[in-house]
Amino acid sequence: MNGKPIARVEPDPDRQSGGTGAEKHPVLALAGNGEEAFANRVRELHGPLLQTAVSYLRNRDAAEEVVQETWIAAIRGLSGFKGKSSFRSWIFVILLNHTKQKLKGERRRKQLLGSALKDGRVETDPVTTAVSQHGAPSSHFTPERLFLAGESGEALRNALATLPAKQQAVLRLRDIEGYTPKEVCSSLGLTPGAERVLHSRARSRLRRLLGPYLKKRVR
Amino acid sequence: MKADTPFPCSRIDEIVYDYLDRTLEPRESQRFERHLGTCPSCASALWETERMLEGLTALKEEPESGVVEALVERFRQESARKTRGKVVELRSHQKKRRDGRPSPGPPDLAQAGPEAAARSGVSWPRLLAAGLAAVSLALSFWVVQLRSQLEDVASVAAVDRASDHDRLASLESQIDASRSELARSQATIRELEEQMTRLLQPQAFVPTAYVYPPTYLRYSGETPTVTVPRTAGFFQLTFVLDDVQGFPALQVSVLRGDGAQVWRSGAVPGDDSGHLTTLFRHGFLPAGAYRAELFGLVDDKRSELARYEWELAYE
Repeated sequence: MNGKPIARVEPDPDRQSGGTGAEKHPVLALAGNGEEAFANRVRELHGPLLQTAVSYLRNRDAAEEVVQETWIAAIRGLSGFKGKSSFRSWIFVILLNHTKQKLKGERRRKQLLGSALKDGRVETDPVTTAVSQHGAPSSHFTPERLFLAGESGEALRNALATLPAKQQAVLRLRDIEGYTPKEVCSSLGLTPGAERVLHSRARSRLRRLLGPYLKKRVR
Repeated sequence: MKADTPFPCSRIDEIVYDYLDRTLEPRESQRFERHLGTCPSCASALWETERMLEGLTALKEEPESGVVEALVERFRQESARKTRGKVVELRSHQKKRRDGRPSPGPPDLAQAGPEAAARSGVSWPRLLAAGLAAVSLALSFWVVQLRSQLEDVASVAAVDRASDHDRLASLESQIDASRSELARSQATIRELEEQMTRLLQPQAFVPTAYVYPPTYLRYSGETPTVTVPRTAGFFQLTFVLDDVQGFPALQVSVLRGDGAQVWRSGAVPGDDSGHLTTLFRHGFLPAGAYRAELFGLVDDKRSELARYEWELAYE
């Protein structure tokens, strides 16, 4: 298990010396009193958690909801966290569980809507349309569409959304959040080999997708 | 690999990230850089990769405003809730505080009074007045402290009372549950006792296998199945021996299907009273094929008079 208390963000010296000296919160293993240490944890982990949830759920709103649920579950269960693993690994496990539950719910909803559509009970339903789009993202985005998406950030986001969930999660943590391979492994429960392969495939695929767009920008 | 070997374009995907992360071997880096100078395609690929990675880095977001504060507030509420629950800890903390608190003012002040007076040369009546004022102040302070402590104790006692009340309610519900369980168990016991009594009654020994040989002729017909209740305790095998005359004694053997003898009666005086009864404990004979052989004994000679076969089964 990773011995470092935090993923990659070094403790802020200003925050650390904020009147509480070298005191550490016993559970959060971070300088400062309970609330301060917790706030630091939120600042440090909220982004990575959100990136991971987006990778699996492919929906920003749903991902935000799951991350919120994850934090609340973590707050409730904090007294049960014995510090045997790092806090980051622990909260990522909670996140992945909540994400799985959410995906199950989505799948069930999709099935219900699908059967309703087949029976002709629902003619056009915006939710069904949205769900079917989430279900088949790779055919939805083409390089042309990426190019037409305009701003590079938007194009990149769209391209990212087409990657398979695990590749996407690894890429987001490594290249957006700046996690080290070891940190990604302990957060997502991957072996170093799997992490390496997923990361390399994700980068190649993303560059292939963005190729036409990037070339256009060069000229 | 030699430094002057040209860098193959096909390897760019393999090394480009290591090159950008500065983890590529220095010699390999130099070779790649020399190649970049001559290959616009690889230079363009490098540029694209760099832009892509920059773009990814730019996607990093800080938590939206209010998110951290809302979660910290939630954390605070949860911590407070947990603290309220720890009545025992609160009590021990208060005890510690009471022990650690310095004793109230009056004795100290009274003690300090004369010394201060001696130092400053103040007159006794003034000193006395000042002392009294100090004592009254200290007393009032002490009373306030005492009152707040009493309030604390009262609040703890209130929590205790509430908790005792909860405990009492829980115990009462436990008692109710135990009572109903006891009633259920007693009913079961009664039922079992009745069943036992029924089983021990003489009707349990009503003949269940009744082999009926009306004649001396050897039985060679069908093999009847005799089904015996498993709870009967015993079952009996009755041979009705009509007109068995001319034999001073009779004997019955019971054999398993494979011919092994499982029981043999003693010599029964032969008369024509009609009944020869054997009593078996159930289970003594395992289920299966059996036959009974009836012999007439004359002096030392045995004559088989009849043979009866049956399948024994238990309900």
